[in-house]
Amino acid sequence: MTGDQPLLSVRDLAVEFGRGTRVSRPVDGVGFEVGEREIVGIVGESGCGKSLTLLALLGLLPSGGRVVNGSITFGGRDLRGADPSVLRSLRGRQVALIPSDAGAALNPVARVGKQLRLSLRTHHPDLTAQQRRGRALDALRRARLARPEQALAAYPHELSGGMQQRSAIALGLQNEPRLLLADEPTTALDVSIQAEILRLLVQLRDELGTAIVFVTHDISTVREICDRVVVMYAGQVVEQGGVEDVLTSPRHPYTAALLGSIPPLGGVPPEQLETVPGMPPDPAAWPGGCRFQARCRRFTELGEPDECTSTWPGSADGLALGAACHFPLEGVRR
Amino acid sequence: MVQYVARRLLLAVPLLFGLSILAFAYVRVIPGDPVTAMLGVNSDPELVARLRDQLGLDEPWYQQYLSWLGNVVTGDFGISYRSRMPVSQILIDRIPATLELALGGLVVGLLIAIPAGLYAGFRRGSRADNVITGATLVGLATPGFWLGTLLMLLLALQLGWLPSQGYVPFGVDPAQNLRLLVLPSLTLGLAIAPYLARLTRTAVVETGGEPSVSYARAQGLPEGTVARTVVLRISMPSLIVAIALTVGFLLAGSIIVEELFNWPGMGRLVAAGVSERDYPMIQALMLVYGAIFIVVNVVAEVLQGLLDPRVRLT
Repeated sequence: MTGDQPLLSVRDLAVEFGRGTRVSRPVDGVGFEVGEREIVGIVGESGCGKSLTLLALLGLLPSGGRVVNGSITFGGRDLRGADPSVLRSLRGRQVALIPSDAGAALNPVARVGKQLRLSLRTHHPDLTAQQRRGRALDALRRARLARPEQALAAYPHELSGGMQQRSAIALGLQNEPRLLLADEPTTALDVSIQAEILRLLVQLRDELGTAIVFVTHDISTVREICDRVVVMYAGQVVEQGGVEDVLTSPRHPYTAALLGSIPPLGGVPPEQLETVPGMPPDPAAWPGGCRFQARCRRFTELGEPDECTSTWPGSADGLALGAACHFPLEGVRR
Repeated sequence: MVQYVARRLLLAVPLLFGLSILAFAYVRVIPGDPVTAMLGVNSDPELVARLRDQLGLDEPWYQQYLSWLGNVVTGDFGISYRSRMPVSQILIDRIPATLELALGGLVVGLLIAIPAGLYAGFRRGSRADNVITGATLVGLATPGFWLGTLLMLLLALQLGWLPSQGYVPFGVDPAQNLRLLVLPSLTLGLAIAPYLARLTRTAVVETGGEPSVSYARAQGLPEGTVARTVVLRISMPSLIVAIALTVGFLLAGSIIVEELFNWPGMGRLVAAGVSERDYPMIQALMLVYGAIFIVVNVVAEVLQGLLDPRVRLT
C-alpha cells in the first residue's frame, strides 16, 4: 500500500435483507483496504457476499438490502452516510463498475457509442459533441478494441463477448475513475479471451494508475493479476494478505481447500482434485463460532475442538491480515 | 422490411381462411334459422321452402361454404338477408365510423393508461402505485355500458357540455363529428385503460429488474435518464405488441359503445345481424373484425422491429 491513507477502506461492513424474524445478513463484518494503483482480489464461492459487498460500496444494493453496520471510506470521504446524490456523482466518475456479463448489462437498444456519450455527458457536461466522440474513441482504443469506429456504431448484440466486455471496460475507464470494481469480469467469456481481459486490466492499471477490486470465484485468476487477496466465506473475511503469501502458503483451511480444488501451476497434476464437501450455510441462520467448521477437514482431524463451535476466530472489523482460524495451517507450501 | 411485411400479411391468409371456417360454422351452429327469423314462426310452408331455396340454404353445407368463399375472395360478401343490400356496400359505409371510434377509444385509453402505468411502475410499492393498481381493479370490474350511461347522464344530460348521442360524418361537419366522438371514445377508452395501465406497469417493473438498468445506475446516470434511455426504451417494443393484442377488447367494447351512443358503425350490425340470423352479414363481420385485428398486430410487430435492433425484420 502506498501513502498513509488507503484509497478505499471498508470496515466491519454488514448488509441485511428482510425484516423481523426473516432477517438475513449475507455480508457480516467484512473489512479490507485498497491502496492507490493496487489490484485487490475478493474470492469466494457464489453466495459468500462478495458481489453484495461491491454493490454496497456503490450504494446500489438490490431493493430491501441495507447497510446496517460498518464504514466505507473512499478517498477520505465517508460513503456509508453519504447523500444519494453524492454517491451518484461518484458512480461512473470516480468509482466505475465492470459488470460480470457485459452482454446483458449494456443497454441492448442503444449503440455502444451512444452509451459512451451518455456517460460522458453526465460526468463531463462541458465537453462538445466532437470532444465526446474523441474521448469515446480513445477509451475504446485503450480497451484494445480492434475497430473502435465500428464498435461506436454497433449495437451490443452485434459484438462478440470479448468485444462487449472491452466496450464495458471502455465505458468504465473513459471518465478516468480512481477505482474500478470488476465483478467477475471474465466469467461470461471463454478461456483465451479471459486471459486477454485479465492482461488488459493489469495494463490499464499500469497506464492509468486505476486501483481495481477484482471479484471472482476463480482463485487461479487472482494469482495472475492481484497484489492482494481477500478470501470470503459466509459473509465474512476468512483470510487476507499478499497474493504470494496467501496463495503459496494458505493458513485458513478454506483457502487451502479452494486452492486444492484447482490444478497447481507447474509440476505434476494430482490424481484427483479436491472438492470442498457440503454447502455454505444459510445467511438467514449463520452458525455460531467458525462458519466453515461444518465443512472443515481440520476441525475433524483435530477431534472437533470446542473453540471452533463457540467463538468466531476473526478480528472485530474484518481487517486483520492472516487467517480467521483457531488452528491455522502453518508452512504448508503449495 | 417490405419483404417482412409481405410475409407477415401472407401468413395472415391461412389465419383468415381458418376464421372463415369458424365464421361459417358459427352462424349455423347457433340455434335459430334465418328464414324463420325473416318470415315469423307461423308462416306459409311453401313460402318458407321457396325462400330457403332462393337463399341456397338447402344445398349441402360444403357447397354453401365453397360458393360463399369463392365470392368472398372476389370481394363479394353476398346480400344481407335483413336489408337486401350487398353486405360489402353496407360495410364500406360503416367501417369508417367504427375505426374512428376505435381510434378515439385507443387514444383516450393510452392517454390515461400510459402515464398511470409508467408512474405506478417506476414507483412500485409506493402509495401512488397502490392507488393506481387499485383503480385498475375497479376499472376492470366496471361494465362499459354502465360507465357509458353514467357519463352520458353526467356530461350530456346533467351538465349539457356534450351532445348525448348520434353521429355526423367528419366530412360533413368536423366540429360536430368530434364533439359527438368525445363521449363514446371516453367510455371506450376508460373501459380499456385498466388493461393498458396494467400492461404498462408490468412492462416497466419487469424491465426494471434487467441487468442493464442496474448497470446504468452504476454508471451514475441520473434516474430520469435511466428511466428514459434504458427502462422505457427497452420495454417499449414489447409493450407496443402487447397493446396491439388488446385491440380485441377494443373492438368488442366498441360493439356495446356503438349500441349505447347510437354510433352507426359495424358494431350495431352485429347485434341486429345475430338476432336475425343474417348469415352473410355475421360471416362478413367476423372476417372484417379478424382482419382489422391481424393488420393492427402486423403493424405493431413492424414497429417492434424498428424499435428493437435485436429483432430482424426479414
